[in-house]
Amino acid sequence: MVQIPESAVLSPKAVAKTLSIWPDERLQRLLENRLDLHAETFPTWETLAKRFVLAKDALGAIYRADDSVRAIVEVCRLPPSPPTISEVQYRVGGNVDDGLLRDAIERMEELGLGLVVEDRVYIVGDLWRNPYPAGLGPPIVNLLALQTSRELNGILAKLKSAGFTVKSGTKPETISSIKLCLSNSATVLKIVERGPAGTMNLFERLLVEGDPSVRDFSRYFSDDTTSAVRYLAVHGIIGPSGQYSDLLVLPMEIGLAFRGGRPYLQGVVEPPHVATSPVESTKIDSSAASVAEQLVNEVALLLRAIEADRLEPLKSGGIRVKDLRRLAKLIGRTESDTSRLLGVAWFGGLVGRTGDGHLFCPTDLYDSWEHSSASERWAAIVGSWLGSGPEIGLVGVTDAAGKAIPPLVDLDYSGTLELSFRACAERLVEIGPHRMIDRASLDSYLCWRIPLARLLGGEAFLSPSALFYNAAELLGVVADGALSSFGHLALSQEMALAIERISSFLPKPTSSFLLGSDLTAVVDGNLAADIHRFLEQIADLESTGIVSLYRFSEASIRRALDAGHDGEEISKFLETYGTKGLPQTLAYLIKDITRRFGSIRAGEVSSYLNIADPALAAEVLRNKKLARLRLRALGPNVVVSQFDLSAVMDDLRSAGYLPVAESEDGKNLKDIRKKIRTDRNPRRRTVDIPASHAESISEFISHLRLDDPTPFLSAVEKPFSARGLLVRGRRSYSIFDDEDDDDDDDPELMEELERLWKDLDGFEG
Amino acid sequence: MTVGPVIVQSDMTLLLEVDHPEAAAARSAISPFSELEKSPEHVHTYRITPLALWNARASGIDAEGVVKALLQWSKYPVPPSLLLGIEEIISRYGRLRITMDETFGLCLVGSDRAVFEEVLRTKAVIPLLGNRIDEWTVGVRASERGRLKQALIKLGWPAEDEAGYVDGTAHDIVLRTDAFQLRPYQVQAAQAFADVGNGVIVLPCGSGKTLVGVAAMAQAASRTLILVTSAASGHQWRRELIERTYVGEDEIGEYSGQRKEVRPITIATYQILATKRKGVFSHMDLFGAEEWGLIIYDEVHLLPAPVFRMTADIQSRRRLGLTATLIREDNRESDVFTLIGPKRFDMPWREVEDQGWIAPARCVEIRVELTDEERMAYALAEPEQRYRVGSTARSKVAVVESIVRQARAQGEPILVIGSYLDQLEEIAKELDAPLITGSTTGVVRERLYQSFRDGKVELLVVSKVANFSIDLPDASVAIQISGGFGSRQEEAQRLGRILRPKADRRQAHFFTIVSRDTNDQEFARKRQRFLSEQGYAYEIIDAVDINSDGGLFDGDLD
Repeated sequence: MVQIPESAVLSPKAVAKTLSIWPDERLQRLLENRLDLHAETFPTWETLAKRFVLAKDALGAIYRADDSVRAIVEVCRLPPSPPTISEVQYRVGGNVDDGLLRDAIERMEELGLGLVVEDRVYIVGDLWRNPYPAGLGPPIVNLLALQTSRELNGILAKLKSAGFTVKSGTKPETISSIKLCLSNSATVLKIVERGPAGTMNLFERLLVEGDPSVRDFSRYFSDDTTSAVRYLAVHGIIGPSGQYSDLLVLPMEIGLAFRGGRPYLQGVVEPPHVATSPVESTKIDSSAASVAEQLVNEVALLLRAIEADRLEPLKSGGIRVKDLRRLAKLIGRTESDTSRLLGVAWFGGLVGRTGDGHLFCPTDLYDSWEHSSASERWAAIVGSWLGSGPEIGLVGVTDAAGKAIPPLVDLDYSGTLELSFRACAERLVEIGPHRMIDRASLDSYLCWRIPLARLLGGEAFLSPSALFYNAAELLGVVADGALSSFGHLALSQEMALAIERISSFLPKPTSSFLLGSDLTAVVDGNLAADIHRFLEQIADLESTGIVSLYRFSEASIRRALDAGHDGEEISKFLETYGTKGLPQTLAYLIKDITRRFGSIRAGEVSSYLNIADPALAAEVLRNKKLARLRLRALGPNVVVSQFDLSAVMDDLRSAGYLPVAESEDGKNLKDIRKKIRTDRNPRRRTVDIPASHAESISEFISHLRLDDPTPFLSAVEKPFSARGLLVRGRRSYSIFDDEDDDDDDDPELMEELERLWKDLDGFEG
Repeated sequence: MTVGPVIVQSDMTLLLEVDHPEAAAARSAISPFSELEKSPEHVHTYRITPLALWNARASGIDAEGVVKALLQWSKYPVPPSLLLGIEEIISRYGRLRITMDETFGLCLVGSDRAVFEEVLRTKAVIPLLGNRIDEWTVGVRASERGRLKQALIKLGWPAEDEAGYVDGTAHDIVLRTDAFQLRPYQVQAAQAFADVGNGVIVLPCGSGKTLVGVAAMAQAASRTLILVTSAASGHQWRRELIERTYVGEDEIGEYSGQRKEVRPITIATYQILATKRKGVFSHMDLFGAEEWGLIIYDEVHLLPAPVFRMTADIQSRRRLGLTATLIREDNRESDVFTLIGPKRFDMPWREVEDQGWIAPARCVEIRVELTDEERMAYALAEPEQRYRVGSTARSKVAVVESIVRQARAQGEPILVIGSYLDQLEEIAKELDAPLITGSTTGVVRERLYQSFRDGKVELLVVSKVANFSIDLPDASVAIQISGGFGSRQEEAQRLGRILRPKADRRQAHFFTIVSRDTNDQEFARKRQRFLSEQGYAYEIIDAVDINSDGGLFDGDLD
C-alpha cells in the first residue's frame, strides 16, 4: 500500500462543490459509469462527494479507462502531487494537444477516477494502489523489501566493491542505503556499463519497451557471471516482483530517472489512428447478406438435426466429437465453423437443455424464430450476439492450453474480453459502413482504449479485435474486412432499419424447386418456411449452400408417411411446387412406397379379448352394457379395448360373461417422439440497456439539484460492480483470469514500505 | 447483381443451370478447373478439387483465371473465402519441379525453401531420392519418378513434371483422312492429350474413344503399346487401326494368352500382364521390350493393381487412358490421376447424344412381382444368398420373353445381359439364342459377334464378358436380367453396348429387370445412379403393365 501525500488527498467538500456545478449531462455520464455512487437513499452533494472520494469501485472503473486516462492517473501519482494541468501535459509526453488532453481528463472525471480542482488534477484514494501502466515498475523500496537480508547484503557488497558509498544496518536501513545509491542515474549508468555483454541492451529494453520486467529464475541463482540478468539483479538494479517470483522488475525510480522525470516519452493521449480505405458498398453488402443467409439456413439446419437426433451433452458440458463431426458433415462446414454456429444457436437462446439436463433441444424461442423471415432470423441472432458479447467469438478458439473452446457450454471469460468487444463495436460504428479496416491498427486502437487487451495477445491466442471479428464475419455483419450497412445499423441498435436494409439484399423466399429424375430436388435460395418444412420431411438434405440439394429415397418418403402424410398429398405437393413437373421415377417411388406402407399395421391397446366363437364376439361388440369399453374388432375372433384389463374384466362380468384373464406376451409399441422444448436457457440477452437506470439517474440528479430531503428510491437494487457486471452467468469453462490478486501482502512489510515511501519525495529526477 | 448460369457453393461445387442461355459458354469456362460430377436434366454439378486446380495450373490457367471465370459466370456473389482457398491451393503447384538435368539426370527442384526442406524430410519421400545436389536441388532415382509424384500429391505439394518424355522408336502411323473424319470432340480430346503427353480421356460408350486413341498414336508417330481388357477388344482395336490408318496387318502384334507377338504396335491384355508365374509377373517385361513412345490404357478404370505398379516405373513414356466411366470401385481414382495423368477431356453423355454421335437411349426399369413361392425362397435365404435369389428369380424369364417378342416384332437386334451363368443358360435355352460366357472360346465368341454384326443372329445372351469394349454397332435393345450388385460402371458400360448411333437415328432401349421388394431393387437403384446423374431418366414400370401383344416400343403403356 502506498501512502497518499497529504496534499494529494481529495477533500469531499471540494468534490461536492465541483460536482454541483457540473452540467446534468456530465453528472448523468458519471453516474451511468459508476452506479455505485448513487446507491443512496437520501442523496446530497456531500454524500455523493464522500462516495466519490472513498468508493472502492474506482479500481473497477479504471479497467474501462483508455490509455490516456490511465496515463493521467499514473502521472498524478508522481511527486509533486497533485500536478497542475500543465504538469500533467508535460508528464504524458509534452507535446500534447490541449483539446485531447482536456477530453481525456473529462473522461477520467466521468469515470469517477479523479477531479480537477482549482487547476490541479486529483485522483481518488483507491487509485494509489493501481498497477503501473506506464511501463514503470514498483517503487524501489517495494522491490528491495521483498528480498532477504542475505540478498540485500549481497547487493550492498557488490555496490561497495564497485566503489559506491553504502551503509549496512537493519533491513530498512540497508534498503534505504541501497535506494539512495541507486537513485542517482549516473551511478546506475556506471554499473550498467561495467556489466557483461548484453547488459546495456537489456537495460535499455527494460527502460523503453513498456514492460519493465524480465523473466529469468535459474540465472538469478546461478553463478553465471556472463548473465546480464544476474548482474543487474545482484546489483539491485532489477529485483524480484515477489518472494518466489522469477519475474525481475526495473524499479520506478530508475525508469523515471532515465525518462527525464516523466513516465511517458511519447504522447499517449491521442488515440492510435485506425486505418481504413473505402470499398464498393454493394459488393460488401451483397457478400455480407450472402453470408447472413447461409448462416440462418445452417443454424436452422443444425437445430432441426438436434431436434431429430436427440443430442446428448457430455457430463462436462458440450457435445461429443463424433456428434460435432456428424453435424459438420451435415452442413458441409469445418468442425470449427460448426462449433461456432452451435455457439450462435446456444448464445442466441435457440437451443438449450431439457429440464433434466439429459438432452439438448430447441427452445420455445426457436419455434417462432424458425417461422420468421430470413432477415428477422438474422436480426434475432445478431441482437443476441450483441447482447451476449464475446461468447460466440470465443467458441472454437484455441485457448492457451491448446484446446479448442467447445460449443454448447457457458463460458467464463474476463471482463477485458467484454470491454474489448464493446470497444471494437463502438469504434466500428464510429468508422461507419463500407470501409475496409486495417486490423492491426484497429488492434492498436483497442489496446489503447482497453489497455488490458494487450494481455490477450500475451496469451498468444487472441488479438483484441478477433473476438468481434470471429463472430461478425460469421454473422454477415462484416464482409471482406468492412462493416456492412445493415451490420452498422445493427451495431447502432437500429435493428428495425437493419432488417429492412438486409431484406433488400436477401433473395425473396422462393416457393419452387427443380425435381430431377435422379430423385433430387434443387432449391435455389430460401424456400418459404412451410414449403421448406414439408420438403424436409419427404427428402434428405444432401448438400447445402446458396443452393440446397435434397434427395428422395425410400426412407425419406416413408418418414413422411410415418408423419401422417399420404402418397397423394406428397405427389400433389411436388407437382405444385416442383417446376418442370414430377419426374416419372419420383412419382413411381412415391407410389411404390405408399403401396407397401401399412402392409403391417401396429397399434397400442390396453387389453384384448380372444374369443374363439365369432358369434359370441359379435354379440360382445353389440352389447350396450359394454359400450363404455369402446370395443373394436381386429378380426373375427379378436376384440380390443383402450381400457385396462381389470376394467374390461369387471365390465364383462357385470354384463354376465365369464371371462378369463390372459397373461401378457409382448406388444409392439409405436415409438412416437414428442416435441421436446425447454425454456431453460439463461444465455439470451437483449442489446437494450434497461431504461430504468437512465431514468433513475435522472431522478437522482433532480433530487441533488433540489436538495430534496425526501428519501430517494433507486431503481438499482444493488451497487454496481464492474467486475460483477463483466463476469456473468454460470461459470463452467474458464478462459483466463482478469488480473493478479494483490491483496495478500504481509501487513508488517506494508507498514515498513509505507514509512519508506515517504522518502520518495527526495528522489532525484 | 450477376445473373450467370453458375451457382458457386461454398463446398466448392459449381451448379450449372443447363437451360440458361449462356450455359454452354459457362461450361467451357469452368470445365478446365473442375470435375463434372453429375449431369441430370436440369442442373449439372461440377466440383473444384485440388487435383482439378493443379491440373488447370499445369495447363497454364492461373488462380486469376479461375477466379475471373467464377466471378464472370456466377449467378450470386462468390464467397470470398472460397476464392482465397482456390488461390492457396493453386499456389501449391509448381513450388516443386521434376526436371531432367544433363549432368545429374532426374532431379527434384524446389523454389520454396521451407516446402522443399519439409518434403525432403518426409519418410515417404526419402527412399525415392538420390543425392543432394545443391540448396534447391536433389537427385531422383530414375525408377521412382511415378512414386515420387504419388508421394508429393499425398503431401499436398504436387510436382510440376518438366522432365519430359522419351520419344520412343519412331513409327509412322497415318490416318486415312480421305476415308473418314474425326468428330470435333475427338479432335479436341486428342489435342488435349497431345499438348501434355499424359492423361485420361473420358467419353461415353459408343462415342469413339478408340478413334481418339488412334489419333493420339498418329500424333505420337512412335511405337505404341495398347493395353485392353480382353482379346476380343484387342481384335476390335486391330480392326479400327487397319480401317482408319495405313498401318499394315504385320505391324500389329497381339500379346495375349493365345499369342505373344511384339511388333511396332502391340496390343496386350491386362490379364496376361497381370498373370503371375512362380510368383513373378513374367509378362511385365513387355513394357521394356520396345522403346514405346506411347502406351494406351483402354478402359483405364479397370487397370489392375500390378499394372498400376508397373506404370509407376514408366513415367518417361507418354500415357493415355481411355474410359467412359472414371469410377473405380476400389476408389483408386487418384492413382489414375498420378500415374496415368489427370483427366484431359470429358463430355456429358447427353451432350454427345444431342449432337447425334451416340444413339438416344430410353432406360426402363421393369419391376417384376415374385410368385409366392419365390417370395418365400427369398425370405428364407441366407443374407449372402439373397441377392442371387432375388436377381435370378424365375419370374423374370416371362418378362424377358415378352420384351424379346416385341423387340423382334420391331426388328431390333437384342442383347440379353446377366451375371449368373445358370440364369443365362436357362434364358438362352428358353429363347433358343446363342450364349456367350467366359468359357466360350475366343473363336466362337468372335464368330457369334460377327454374326450379330452381320445381322445373321438377332439375339445374343451374354455374360459380363461383353460388358466392355465389344463393338456391336447394330445392337439397339439391351435387357439386363442381373448385375454385379451395385456397380455403377457396369450399368453404364452395359448401356454403352447399344449406344452406337443407328443408321436411321432410332432410339436404343435399355431394359433392366428387377425383382420387386428384394435387394435386387436396392442394388438396381445404386447401379443406376451414375447414369441418372448423366441425365438418363429411368422410367419405372411394373411388369404387369406390359402388354403381351406390344406397346413397349411405342410408348402406349398404361
